[in-house]
Amino acid sequence: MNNGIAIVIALLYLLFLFGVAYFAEYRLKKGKSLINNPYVYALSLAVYCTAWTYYGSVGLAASHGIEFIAVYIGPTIMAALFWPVLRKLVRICRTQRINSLADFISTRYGKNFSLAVVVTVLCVLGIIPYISLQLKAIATSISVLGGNNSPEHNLSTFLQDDTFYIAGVITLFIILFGARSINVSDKHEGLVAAIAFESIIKLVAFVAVGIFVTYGIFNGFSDIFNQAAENESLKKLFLLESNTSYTTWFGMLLLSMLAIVFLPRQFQMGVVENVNENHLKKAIWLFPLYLLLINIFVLPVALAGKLLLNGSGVSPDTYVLALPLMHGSKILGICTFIGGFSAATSMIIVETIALSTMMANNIATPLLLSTQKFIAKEDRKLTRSILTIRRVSIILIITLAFLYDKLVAQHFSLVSIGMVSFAAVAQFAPTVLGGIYWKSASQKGAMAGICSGFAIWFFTAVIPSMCSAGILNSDIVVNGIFGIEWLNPVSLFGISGMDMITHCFFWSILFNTISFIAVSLYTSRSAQETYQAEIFVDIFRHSNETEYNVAWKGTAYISDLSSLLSKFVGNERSERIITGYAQKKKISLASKQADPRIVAFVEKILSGIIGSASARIMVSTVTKEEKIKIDEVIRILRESQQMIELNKELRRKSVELQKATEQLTAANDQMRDLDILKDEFLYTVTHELRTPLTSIRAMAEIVYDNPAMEEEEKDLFLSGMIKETERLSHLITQVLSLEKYESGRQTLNKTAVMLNQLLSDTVSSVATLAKEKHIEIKNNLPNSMFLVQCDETLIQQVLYNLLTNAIKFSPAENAVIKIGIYTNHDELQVWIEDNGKGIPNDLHSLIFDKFFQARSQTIKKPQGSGLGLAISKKIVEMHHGKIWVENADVRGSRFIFTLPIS
Amino acid sequence: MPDSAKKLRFAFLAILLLLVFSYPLISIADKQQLIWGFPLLYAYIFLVWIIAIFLLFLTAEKRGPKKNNGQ
Repeated sequence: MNNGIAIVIALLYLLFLFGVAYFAEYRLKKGKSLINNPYVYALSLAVYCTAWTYYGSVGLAASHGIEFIAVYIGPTIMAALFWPVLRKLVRICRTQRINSLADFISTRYGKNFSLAVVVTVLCVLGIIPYISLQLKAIATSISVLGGNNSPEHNLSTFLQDDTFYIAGVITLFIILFGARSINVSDKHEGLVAAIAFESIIKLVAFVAVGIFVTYGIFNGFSDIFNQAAENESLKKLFLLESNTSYTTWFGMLLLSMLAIVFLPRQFQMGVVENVNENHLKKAIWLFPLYLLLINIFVLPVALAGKLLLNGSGVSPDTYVLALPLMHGSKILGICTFIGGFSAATSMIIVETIALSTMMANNIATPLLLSTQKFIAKEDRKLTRSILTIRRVSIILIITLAFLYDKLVAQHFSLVSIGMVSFAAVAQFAPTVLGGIYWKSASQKGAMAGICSGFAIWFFTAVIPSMCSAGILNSDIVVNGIFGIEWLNPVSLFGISGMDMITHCFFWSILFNTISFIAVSLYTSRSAQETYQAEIFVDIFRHSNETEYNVAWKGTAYISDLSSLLSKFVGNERSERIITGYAQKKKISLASKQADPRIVAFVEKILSGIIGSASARIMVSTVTKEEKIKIDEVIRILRESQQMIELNKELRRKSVELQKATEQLTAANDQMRDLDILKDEFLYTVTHELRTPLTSIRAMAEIVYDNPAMEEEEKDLFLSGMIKETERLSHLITQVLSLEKYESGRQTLNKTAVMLNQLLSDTVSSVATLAKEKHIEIKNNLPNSMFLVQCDETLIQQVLYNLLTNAIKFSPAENAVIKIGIYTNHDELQVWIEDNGKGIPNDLHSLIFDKFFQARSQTIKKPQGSGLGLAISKKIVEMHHGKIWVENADVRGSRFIFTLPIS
Repeated sequence: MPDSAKKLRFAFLAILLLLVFSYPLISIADKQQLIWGFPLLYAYIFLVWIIAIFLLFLTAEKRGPKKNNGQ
């Protein structure tokens, strides 16, 4: 196989990628978006895994063991913070129409032009080597697949260079799907679909190699690990301790945590291209899962390579490709090559898009626009110039990466370039994170932080790399720059013991953060900054209401704004956008003067197209802006705040109202229930009253109608009448007293009462009644005193009711009633037990209802009013006690009531 | 589940993960030993990783009362 075949395969693969991207855009036109899908979003985040992951991890694992995995565990830890942090970034970028990291930082700090330029330049400096690393990986993999082992590094022969053509096709792809036209939407549908697709390819290919090596060449994981364990030098790769320090490991964790958010390609995919915040929910666990899967086989493959290819001259960086090829699996070799190629291309594509957007929007376009004659140009020419700028930026970035690869990269090891890039982008972390959580973070602070961070980064990461590459005199890393010992780039201030990257990360972030905070605290902020800080930090509160008030003052005309917008989106669309917005916000378009909200809206739309710095310049050319004072901004913010508060208040009120309505309904229902109860009660009472009345009347009529009745018989009837009358008056007394308790008119006349004394008094008052029915009353009263505060008369009534009940329900023979008292914590319990037929369990709670006996059909029409238990319950409850019934041990039932002692 | 509770759970998870993957906790597994044919550290890292993914899954996909304004 020669290089030609590899190149054909690579080009065919790219052609296929074009197809995928076209298909995605075609689907979007038909209204069925492919990328509006959480799985595609999660996969697109896997652009994190580059050729460095694909080839370099194995290389690193072969020399440093398990250390490589820190770079993938960091993002897993960060995934937990996607919800609080990344979601906030997504929301800010969507509402503020921000489409790059540089734009984000400049917009947050008062739409500052110079800050955007600094961020862009530093991104380009930090990332270009990383892109060239991918090109190098492509070149290496082509030559390995082709059977040659060393790709050439020579600029003079670039026309014969394979990577040159491949880079060309990739550039074409990026221009086609990243900068084909100027569009209001900042999303690249086709591109994201292609990247997600590439993520699948590289995962499948790598896992396939892993399985082939582990289960095809070897006999599973344990086989590889056991063989490696027998080798002294390979055994060391199992450990962290023997290869690296825990400090380095921790540094790598932190670095990769920051990289997963702040690498331009991650920011592009994770934040800018996000179409729906809720996709984050899937990405939070799917993305770490992806990282886990792609890393399972790294160590086994590295060990396998070491075991089989050690000393054969094959570089560990190419084990992934070399292992299948050497074991005769050409097809798998080609698949592996495609996987690695997809990993490299996806990184190149997204990183280039992100960098070129920054370059075009933050440097080139503002420069172009600031020369007045350009703005006066014809509309068509303006858009064309802007488009050209973008395309040129893309070509420029790829060219720079290509040149770097050919001229410089040969001097560096693969891995260090990646980590140096990580350390570079980590410098944005304090500024961005501070910017979204800390309102006092100022533009000057941001500038100081980023600049000092980058200075240290350059000094402690780039200079040592150059020294080790032989570009600079390596004396610097030994004795310090100019021989000053404390200015040694690998042990600043004499602190040594950290490796180069950790050392760089520590010092740069330290200086960066400290100067960012210190300068922010000791400088003042402009009006624009104050306004932006408010919006960014409180984005979740502002994203709905922010457009009520806009910090803009001046004169502007709708026609000017409309024609400005039409330069980018066409006449018809521009009309539609403005009127649509005006309708939504209920702004009248009748006057020629534009509302500040419309000005801000047009600026926002423009910044989505050409970046915030350029948009600001464009808008300022057609409007007359007056300088807004800081107290005005504060007033505007306060008004927004008040509006929000008012809204909140309104919402709270309406919730309260709803609650009140619910309570009212509940009360109404209760009233209705009570009404029904009252009716029922009245019905039962009258019914109960009528029964004795009827019998009295009947008996009286008999006596009246039969004057010749015998005296003895007459007496019988008369005594019956008296008995019924007694029953009647008893009933009425009970109804009256119950009514008194229920209405709360009965007051308690509490005195200290000896409960056992009271109980035995009551027992003796019913003794005759008991004797008549041959009932034995067993009094289990202890001798101690049971003193309790209660109303003596009422409690006696309770005792009397319970005792007479017990007598009533006692059986005809062998009837025994037991009574007793005992203390239970802070209450006294009195129990009265009979051995009658008992009460079914399901009636235990019902028998205390008024007229329960009367209503219950299952129990024979009883003696008594049916109010005794209801009255007893009321009295006990008035004393804050409880009353209930339970089954006695053998047969019968036991009534218990309690009285609190205090 | 209110969003603030969710945020707190995620913050807790992040700190927890950073702890279990850093010194000194990671040094517990950093020993020359094979367990079921796997190096101890390798097994530890992947096991914790899988558990972490599962916890992230539970925390992320747990449904709260539906609220569309993202608050």
